[in-house]
Amino acid sequence: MASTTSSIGHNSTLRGNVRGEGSLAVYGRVEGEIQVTGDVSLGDEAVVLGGIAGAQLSIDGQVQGDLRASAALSLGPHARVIGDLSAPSISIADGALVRGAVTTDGSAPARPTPAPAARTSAPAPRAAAPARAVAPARPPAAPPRAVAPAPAPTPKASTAPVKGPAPAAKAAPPPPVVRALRKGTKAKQKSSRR
Amino acid sequence: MAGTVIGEGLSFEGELTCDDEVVVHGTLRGTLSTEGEVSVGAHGVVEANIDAASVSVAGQVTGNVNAQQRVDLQAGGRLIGDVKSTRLTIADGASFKGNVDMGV
Repeated sequence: MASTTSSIGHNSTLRGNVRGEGSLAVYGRVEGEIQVTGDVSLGDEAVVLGGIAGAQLSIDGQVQGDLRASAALSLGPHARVIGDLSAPSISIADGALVRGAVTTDGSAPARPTPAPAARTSAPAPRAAAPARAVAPARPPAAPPRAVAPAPAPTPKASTAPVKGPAPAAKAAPPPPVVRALRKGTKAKQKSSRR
Repeated sequence: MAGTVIGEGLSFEGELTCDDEVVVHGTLRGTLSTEGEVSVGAHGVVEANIDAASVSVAGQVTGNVNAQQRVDLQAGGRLIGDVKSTRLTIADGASFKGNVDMGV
């Protein structure tokens, strides 16, 4: 029965918090925080005075608080938000009002199909641009494996080598080679310079 | 929109006020007042004073219940608290602890 979505009706008011696993639809008023693992949707007459956190948020009402979505966040044409928005993918419809910082960071969820770029409506250029930035950010995470086998010749690579040597240490061969090279090369260089 | 529904897995904490039906399959702590019907599902847990037109309990309720019309305690239901209502039914298999005031 966990699939039953919860709802707060039109003329309902909750002074307090909502937490737990499941989805929630708000058509009334909530004066408190909403923290659920599922999706949260706000109707156009909904009012929430407090932060909202969920997987996918679709907001078409008023919110005074921060919105945090682990999957996606979309603001409808009647949305009025005073607070910060953060989600891997954010869409803001024409007519929505927002006052706050907007952050699209794809760092938290490691999903194979990130930020669905399908929502490239005109009013949401911000969401589109960061989403592209997110995609290229992942490839660099994978390359360290390729870098690992040959850490010595690429001392220029700033952060990647740090991760590389650790897994490589198990495969014994590389480290000794590196040390030997360093000692030898240093000695030769010093001697040759002097 | 059938009023307010607290799904299984969710918990509401605080003061819930409605003018419509309230269904509880999850958890509610605080107070609950509505002009409609309150029904607490078999897995519902309510730790609150309830003020409603009618109340039907199949789950657990801890708190005083005040209903304008009726209170139905169904089989498997568990109610700990005082009941104030003109009509009260307690099904076989339900557990109840508290005082009853039927306005006699």
